[in-house]
Amino acid sequence: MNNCFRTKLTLTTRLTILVFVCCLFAWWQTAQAQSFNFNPVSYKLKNGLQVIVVEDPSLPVVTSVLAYGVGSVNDPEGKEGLAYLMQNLMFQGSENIGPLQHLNYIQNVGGELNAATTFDKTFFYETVPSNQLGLVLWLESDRMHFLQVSEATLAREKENLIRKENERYLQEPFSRYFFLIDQILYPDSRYGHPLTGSAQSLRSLTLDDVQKYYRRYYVPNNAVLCLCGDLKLARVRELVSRYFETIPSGEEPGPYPTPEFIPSLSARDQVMVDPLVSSPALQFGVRLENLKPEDLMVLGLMEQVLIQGPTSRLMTRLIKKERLAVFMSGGLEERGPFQSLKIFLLANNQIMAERAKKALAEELNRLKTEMVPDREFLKAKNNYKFNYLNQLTGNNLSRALALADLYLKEGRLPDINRELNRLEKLTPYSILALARRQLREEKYCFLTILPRY
Amino acid sequence: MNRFSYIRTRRLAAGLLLFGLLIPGLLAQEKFRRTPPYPDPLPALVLPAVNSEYLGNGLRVVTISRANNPVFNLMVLIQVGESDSPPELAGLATVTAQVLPRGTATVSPGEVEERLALLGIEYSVEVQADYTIFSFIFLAENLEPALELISLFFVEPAFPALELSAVKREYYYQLLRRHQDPETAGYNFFLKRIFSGSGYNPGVLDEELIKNISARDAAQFHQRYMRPNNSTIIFNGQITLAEASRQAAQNFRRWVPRPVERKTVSRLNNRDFDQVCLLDIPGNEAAIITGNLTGSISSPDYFPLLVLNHIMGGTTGSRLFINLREIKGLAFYAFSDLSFFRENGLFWVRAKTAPPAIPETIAGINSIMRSLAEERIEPEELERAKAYLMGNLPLQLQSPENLSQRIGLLDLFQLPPDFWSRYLQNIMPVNSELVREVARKYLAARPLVIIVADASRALDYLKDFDKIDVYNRKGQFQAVFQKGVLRYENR
Repeated sequence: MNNCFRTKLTLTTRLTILVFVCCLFAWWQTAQAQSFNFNPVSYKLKNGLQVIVVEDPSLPVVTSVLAYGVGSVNDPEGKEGLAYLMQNLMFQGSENIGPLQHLNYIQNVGGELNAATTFDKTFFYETVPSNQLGLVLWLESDRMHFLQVSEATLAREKENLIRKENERYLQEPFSRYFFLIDQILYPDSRYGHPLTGSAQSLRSLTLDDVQKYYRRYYVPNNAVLCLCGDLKLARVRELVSRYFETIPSGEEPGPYPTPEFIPSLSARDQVMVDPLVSSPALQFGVRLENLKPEDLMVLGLMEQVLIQGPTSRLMTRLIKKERLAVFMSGGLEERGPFQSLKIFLLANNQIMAERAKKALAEELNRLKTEMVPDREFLKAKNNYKFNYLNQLTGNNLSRALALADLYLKEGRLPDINRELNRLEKLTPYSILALARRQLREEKYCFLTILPRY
Repeated sequence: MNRFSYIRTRRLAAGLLLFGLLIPGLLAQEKFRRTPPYPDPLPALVLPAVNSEYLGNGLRVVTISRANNPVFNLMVLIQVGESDSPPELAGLATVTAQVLPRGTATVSPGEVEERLALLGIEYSVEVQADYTIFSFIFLAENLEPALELISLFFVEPAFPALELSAVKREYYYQLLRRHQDPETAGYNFFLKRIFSGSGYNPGVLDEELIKNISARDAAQFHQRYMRPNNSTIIFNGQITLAEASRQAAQNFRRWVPRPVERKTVSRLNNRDFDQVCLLDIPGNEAAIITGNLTGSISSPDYFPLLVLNHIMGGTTGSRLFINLREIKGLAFYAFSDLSFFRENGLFWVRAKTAPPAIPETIAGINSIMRSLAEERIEPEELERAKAYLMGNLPLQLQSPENLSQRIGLLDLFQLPPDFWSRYLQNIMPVNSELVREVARKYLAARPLVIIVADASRALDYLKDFDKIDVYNRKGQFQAVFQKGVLRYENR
């Protein structure tokens, strides 16, 4: 009996100690997160709407991001541009809000708003004085379930988009090559088509297409609502419940369409002549695939070493030392399970563009053959860390967008300390190993664009 | 009634009752969707605590306490700007400021760049007519090494020849591009005309004069104007004033003070301009810039002016945009703005249109200005403008850099320390009469009108104007256009 009691006591004590340690760890984690002004709370409504709340009382403002898990990848074949068109139609009025009144309501209280469509997500966001949270939720809930689109509105918006795209091409003739490199990198219409579609695909869209698309994807169970700023959780729960609880959930939208990439080697080194461009340019892209979750941070560091900031390798060599380019930009871009590394540069003449192409390939290959020196690696880590923390703690909008994006992608909230610990453990070898696995010369795509002299 | 029908009747009654109870409930639930909700009570705007003190060399140290933020903003604000550049070297203040963070006496330009990148420091340099701002943002954990490096830019600048050339080249091409943009070119020309004869340069640069700036000019400008005794360093993050002062003193003690003499600026009055200028710049579209002088930011007219500007053309919901674009379809856009300088301020309208619509667009702008000066503003429009201004301020203060800048500039513009925290209280009492009063004061006189367009396309549509002075893209006078005739003149 005594023994048994002793054993029991020991177990209880052990359990108590374990619970205590766990609590202490959880408290430490929370304290760390709070020391970064970052304490997200999340919950789900019965209709599937995921709500994330971050309280930050430093200024009386609140940002709302309502993100839907739908983007250009969901455009049906032949109907490219539907996701982007839908984003624009969301401002054209709903049952209780007149056309373009959404903008007026927000502006009248001093607020700001915008929207964005990506490959797989669509974001609608507003920042308003914190006492106007109810207004934002009223507006967003109305267009989530009661959007009204007429034939006339649809026709006008389609023509607007087509006109804007034509203007953009005339003003920025290189813009079409950004889409062209995507088509080469992702030779699958769902993955590689332009976000804005084409005049033909936009004109083919019918009211029925729009309504079906809206009913399928603009549903609470395909959305994340992230609210950051000077707010109280209890009030948020009350208002969110009031405006969103009665909106019925829709069918589960399902996973991404699986791409079929047919390799097209002939397209990988093209030269094009364009009478609208004024100087030679080079577009580079490489698709990165079979990525593991832990690769993403290493890729971020590789991007820092290669192209981000004035002291990165490509900036130093191509712009400053060898003066092969007069302008350069680029970086990583995510497309579902894939990433691509894209670089765009302008050169003074064709010879410089050719040399820049060679130098670019050499720098990529150097990542596979040489270990990044410690100081350079530390620089990349510091910049990565700054960007990461600035995004999550900088301002309400960047924070809300990052949280909604991550939740739609991975169904979780960020763990700052875990991420920073992971970052600390990475070494220059991490970059070398990943570069060897991913940067394969046969996958490089180059597009040289020459003016007509 | 048999048993079954009784049960059926009871079930039906129960069903109807339930239906009767539920339907009004559902309808009531949806009723709240029909109108926007009432806002919660307006929250107080409580800004982070601001403290300041002076170091021995006259450098003012300001702390803005923001707890629990891993990102730190350090700002150095110097009370010197383009208005201090000599007229023959317009752009000297800009070039000097841009070269400062590009190499010091003990750290080469390349090493400076490396160290900035190593510490993850992002920076920007902004030179206005009256002040210069260096803003640095980095992780708070790097404050000490960051400050050590940043201080060298001010204490021991080197003005390396190669870096100076690079800055001059960058600006030369940037200015060439900017001057091709009708709106920018028009605004710069407008500023030059408004302040012409006053001896004050409101920050307009000239690509040709930039070429003449030497390292010696920059070094002398730094010696003369960029001194600790006319500078403020702002620590925006988690730090105490004592600690900030200790670190500032340690790093900036070698920055030697000198008496700084700035040219005095005269206060200019709103006046009748009676002048229409055409700036001849090729392009299919036309820009219109028109405006006049107002009181300074520290004048009692400031808050009514803000409301007036919002009603006139602050956003896409304001009169200019609604009237000229949405209703009449005359302009691609039309907005108004306020700009403030030491001692002076000005309001200006900018609109973009097609050449045939220039006369009607100008008439439309004038008509809106006249109605604001002559007619009573409806309470709803007034309250909407005030609500926008009061609601928008906290949004503007969200970025640490914006907050630092607004706090730092209070001193330069002779504004009280509680200017921003009392902003809402100062907007609230603005009424229709006060707005009309400032409208009469500043909008009644004929404004200066600048049309930026391709003269060969636009002049045909401008025959009804009494007289138009035509200038080339460099702002040099070319001709007078009167009664449909273009007459070249030498002035």
